[in-house]
Amino acid sequence: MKRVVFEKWQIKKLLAWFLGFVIIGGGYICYTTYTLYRDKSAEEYYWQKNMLDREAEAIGAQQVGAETTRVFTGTYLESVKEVALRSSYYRVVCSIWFRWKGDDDLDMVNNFHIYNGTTNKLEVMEDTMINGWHYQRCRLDVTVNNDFWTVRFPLESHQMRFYIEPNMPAKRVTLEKDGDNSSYNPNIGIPGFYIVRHDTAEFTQVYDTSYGKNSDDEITSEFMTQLEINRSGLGLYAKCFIALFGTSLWVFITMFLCTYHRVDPLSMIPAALFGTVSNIMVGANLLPDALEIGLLEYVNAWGIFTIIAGALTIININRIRNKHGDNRFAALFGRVMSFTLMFIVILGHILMPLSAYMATV
Amino acid sequence: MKDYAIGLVSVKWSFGRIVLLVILAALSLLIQKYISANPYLPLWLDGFGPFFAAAVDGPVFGAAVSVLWLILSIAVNGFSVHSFLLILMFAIMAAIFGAMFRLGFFGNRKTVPFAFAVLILVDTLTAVATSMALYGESTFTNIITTFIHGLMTSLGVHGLIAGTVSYMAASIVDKAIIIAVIFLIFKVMPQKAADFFLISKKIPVAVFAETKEDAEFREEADKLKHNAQEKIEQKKSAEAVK
Repeated sequence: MKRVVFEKWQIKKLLAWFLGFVIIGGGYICYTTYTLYRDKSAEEYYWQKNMLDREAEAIGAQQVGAETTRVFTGTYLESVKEVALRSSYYRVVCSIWFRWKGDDDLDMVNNFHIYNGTTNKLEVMEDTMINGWHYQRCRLDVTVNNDFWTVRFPLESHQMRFYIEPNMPAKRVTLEKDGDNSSYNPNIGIPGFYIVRHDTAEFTQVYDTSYGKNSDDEITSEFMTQLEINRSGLGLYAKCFIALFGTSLWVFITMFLCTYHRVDPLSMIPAALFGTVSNIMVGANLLPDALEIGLLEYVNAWGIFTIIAGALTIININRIRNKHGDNRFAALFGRVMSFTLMFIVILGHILMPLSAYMATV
Repeated sequence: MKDYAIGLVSVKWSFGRIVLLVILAALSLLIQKYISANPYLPLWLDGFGPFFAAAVDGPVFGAAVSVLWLILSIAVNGFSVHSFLLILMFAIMAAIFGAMFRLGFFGNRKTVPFAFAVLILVDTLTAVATSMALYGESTFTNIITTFIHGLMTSLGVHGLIAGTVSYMAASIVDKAIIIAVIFLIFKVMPQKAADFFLISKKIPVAVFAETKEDAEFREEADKLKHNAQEKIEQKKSAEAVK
């Protein structure tokens, strides 16, 4: 039987700090991966939810009225000029067409707008009759305000939707999907993103007002186009966190120096902490001020945890050496804590981005 | 003063050790395919190979079995993120088990429950975090996790907590059996096999001293006993040669 002799204070110190690192670090990783994955999986729910016109089912066809003109509508996305996360808008250029029968007074192309959007340019391309059907097509350059979800930034995906809304109520005009003709330009290039999917649907908007007409609440029939884009690589992620990785590596080096070479490197830690804290501004400057807590904050907090845990380890090693004069146990303590912290930190840096990134095949 | 000479990460290599490394890695692959993958069994046992290696020669040898297991897994099944992370987890677990084994926490009956609890805690946190990152739920399923997860869901406890508790319950059973089997093998293993694989049947035991002087006295006493034992064995082998 081989005996390994410990003093009671040694066991208490070793186990308390080991469990402290494991519980705090492991618990943090569990929580962050869970919340990031939930945000990622919620994207599918929101995509499908917006494909269902729930209001139409609720209000029924009778409230719309039999006199309504059914206008078949479609869109073709030509380009996405800008996706501005910080300013919360995106700009698209698309072709929109309207096709209806009868109702010769209707002029759709000059009587619609994009909900929550600002039209930059509208060009009427066609305005004809084809086999008794009125046909109008225009090219629209529009800027749409959009509250981008930034929980998984910088590995996030975005769903961009815009709604074509007639200037007339649903009793006058009802927009209907023109079969499967809506599409998008396959050569659309959005820097840093690739297109995941595209779809269109009908949408009924019930306003909580009758605009002072003392009648029923205003109802409009709208046509929704949605596009989902996803980050195309790890470039932005690396840009946001490369300084943090460097400072974390520096902390590991100082811990190993202290353990194996009896050097007191505590004075090197503040510089690493400053590097990590200032690194937060790299990512934060790319996002709106009212940003959501997510991957950016989680990874930066993880970096701060790495540095503080490293500093506490070095302080403990120094204390063991100075107060107890026990270099042997100081070396053991340093080895155990250094490897434990290294494993936990690397695991966190692998699992957090993995849980956030929506891999599409 | 000398550095701590416990040799926590030292490894002795020999032909027998390399054979053992390959056997344990291959065994891990087979267990993963035929036992762990079966959701109707109450066990996984895929950690047996790395844990046994860690008990034989410390955390590095345990991690080495995991690395070889990963290479074999990629060669046979192709690369998958799930397998990579699972085996990485086992490397970490084997390293922790090996370190605690070498420090004697599994040799002293009083410390075994606490050491076991620490092992389960680390295993649960790493497994749940990995599972949440890949699938958003605990997917290491067997009969025990399915039962407990279902029970907690019916009580209104969902998501992260239900997954954590159900995994922990299954891990307790699984790791207890693995460690019990390891100790049994250590006990019944023929001496020839132990010599070939360089397996020492002396399990380290953690001993606690009240004061520094007491600790130094015990260490000195152990050293003297060890030297005396060596001399006796040398004498016996010299007499045997004559």
